[in-house]
Amino acid sequence: MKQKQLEKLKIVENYIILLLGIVDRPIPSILHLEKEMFILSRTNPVVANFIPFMKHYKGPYSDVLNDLVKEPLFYTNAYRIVNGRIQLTSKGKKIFEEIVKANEKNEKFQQLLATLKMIRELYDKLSDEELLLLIYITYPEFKKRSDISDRLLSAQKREEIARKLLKKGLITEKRYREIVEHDTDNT
Amino acid sequence: MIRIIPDTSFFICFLDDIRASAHLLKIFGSDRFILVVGRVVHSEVKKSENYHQIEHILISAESYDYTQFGEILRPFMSVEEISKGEHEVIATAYVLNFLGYDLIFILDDDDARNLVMKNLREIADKMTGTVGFVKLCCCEHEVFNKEEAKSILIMIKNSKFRVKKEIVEKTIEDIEVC
Repeated sequence: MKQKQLEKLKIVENYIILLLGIVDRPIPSILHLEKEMFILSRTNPVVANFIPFMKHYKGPYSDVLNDLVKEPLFYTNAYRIVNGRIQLTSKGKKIFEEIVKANEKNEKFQQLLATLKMIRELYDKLSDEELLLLIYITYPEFKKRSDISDRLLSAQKREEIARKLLKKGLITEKRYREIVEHDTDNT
Repeated sequence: MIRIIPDTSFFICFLDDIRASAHLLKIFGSDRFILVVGRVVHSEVKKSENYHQIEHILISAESYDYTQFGEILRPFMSVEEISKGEHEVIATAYVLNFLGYDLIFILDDDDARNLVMKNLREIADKMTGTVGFVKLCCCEHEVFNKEEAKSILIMIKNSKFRVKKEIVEKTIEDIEVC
């Protein structure tokens, strides 16, 4: 592998560590990590350059990200998957602190941390189904039709999930109505 | 200096509903506030036929367009809310609060306000509505004297701006005693 490619992968691992470290709790699942990173890439064009996402039956997917979460190349033992949840190890927490310290005067980096925190605060609260439904509906261009998407996008399931989201206060009333009345032919 | 992050309805209130852009110019001409306006809110305000009256303050406003913070909230809000830029206001407020800036963000939509109250409590105390902001401009920041503030609120009460009349009346009472 070329040096430049390796450097890119290291940066992706940095992003993973930052996403994991910004809140002191594990990320609920690999699905969450993937979609949270996707949202980050939508906010920040630099991140989008390092982590390209493609169409997938579970919405936007990055094989690079998926591989590095399961088998990191640079920061071995910095994070681990326990019962499906991803968390930093004590080594990972140290690396997180080092990255933060090295960039403490960089305003763009601080904005990145704020973005990561906001993403974690909102998306960690979603169940897998809630997360997938919101992603399918918001970014239909990243979805490959599948049994899962068909089931989640059925009128009954949409209503059921949207009601739960509204009850949790995670979506607005208008968004609730939009999801319930969503035209699945256009997704 | 306090960063002020208003939603579209705040500008439209002054520009079109009460046609009092001079008050907006006074607010952002004061040395107490720095106006922060994102891309979506700016483009919505541009649609007002009176936009030219405040164009210069919007063009010179601070903006954080490089990063699309609002995208974080897109899945949680309706297309209509997104098109008005409410997601942009909330996300920008969250980020600037994280950076340690003193700020006030102005949101008038109840739905959007509830989303903040339930999920982003760390910025909830920085949130106000247009009417509440007029009160702050009078009672805390001395941008308006009491008579000016009350006359603005009466104009708002009598306009098509969407706010409960009781809220405006209560705010006028608060101003009397602040």
